[in-house]
Amino acid sequence: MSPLKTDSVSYQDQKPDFGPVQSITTESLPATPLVYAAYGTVWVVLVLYVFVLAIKLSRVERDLKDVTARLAKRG
Amino acid sequence: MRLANRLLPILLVVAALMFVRAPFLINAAPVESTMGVVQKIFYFHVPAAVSTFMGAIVCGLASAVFLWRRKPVADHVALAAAELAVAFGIIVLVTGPLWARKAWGIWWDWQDVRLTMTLVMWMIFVAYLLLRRFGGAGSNVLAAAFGLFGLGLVPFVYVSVNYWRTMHPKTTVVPSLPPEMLVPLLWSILTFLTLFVALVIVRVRLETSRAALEEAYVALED
Repeated sequence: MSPLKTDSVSYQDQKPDFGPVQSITTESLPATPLVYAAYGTVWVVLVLYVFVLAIKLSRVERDLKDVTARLAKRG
Repeated sequence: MRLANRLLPILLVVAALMFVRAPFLINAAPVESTMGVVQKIFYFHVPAAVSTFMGAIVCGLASAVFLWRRKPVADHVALAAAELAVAFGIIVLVTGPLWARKAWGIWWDWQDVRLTMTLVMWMIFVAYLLLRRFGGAGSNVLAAAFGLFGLGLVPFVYVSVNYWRTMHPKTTVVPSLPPEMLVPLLWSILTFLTLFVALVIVRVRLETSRAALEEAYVALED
């Protein structure tokens, strides 16, 4: 299978070997979105868990009440 | 259990109020000198980790009681705690990499024993829950053994940072915190633990109701 050919100059054509940078640049990553993402994760996980738990509990307790009432009616 | 059910609304209200107050305390805490603002993740990453440990400990101890005495309530407590260990574990495993990306420059480091062992411990409790869900009859006994394995991992995960020095901060970080950082952390830990206790009570109530419902269905069919 031949490599895909494009009109643009490939990265390898431009830089055949590794080389040193002319000036050092530091990667800058903003911290605030990461903090908000972490805080959001806490809320999403906990709210979702509480919500699912509340639904399951109300469903089971409703069924239990219903079945207990049917049992009581039957004697 | 009656006392626990009576305490439940109080615990839920206290936990909710503490959760509302926590961000203000965290915001007021000083910015850490080396890591900067991203260190604020510490105030909910560590409490979530403490809650995960608590889930593992409660699950392990309740599993031991269940294996020894075969009391259903011990089994219900173990299941509730395992589920919470998984839920809080998700928070730990997501917030940790978000913090690490900025502080260490990487999302995850497999060489870091604390990280890897926390993931392994979390997977043990996921396996516990899967076993309970799909294991069929008698799976609660096998799952209890998983709970004991999970409990055994807790001290190992906790001290791992002191013996295998990697990038993860040592356990001495918390006792050495200045009061203005320690107070918000302790507040957050207390908040998470209050919610943990409240959720264990709710989850045990769900499991007890489920068992009663099954018995009622059987009685109805007879």
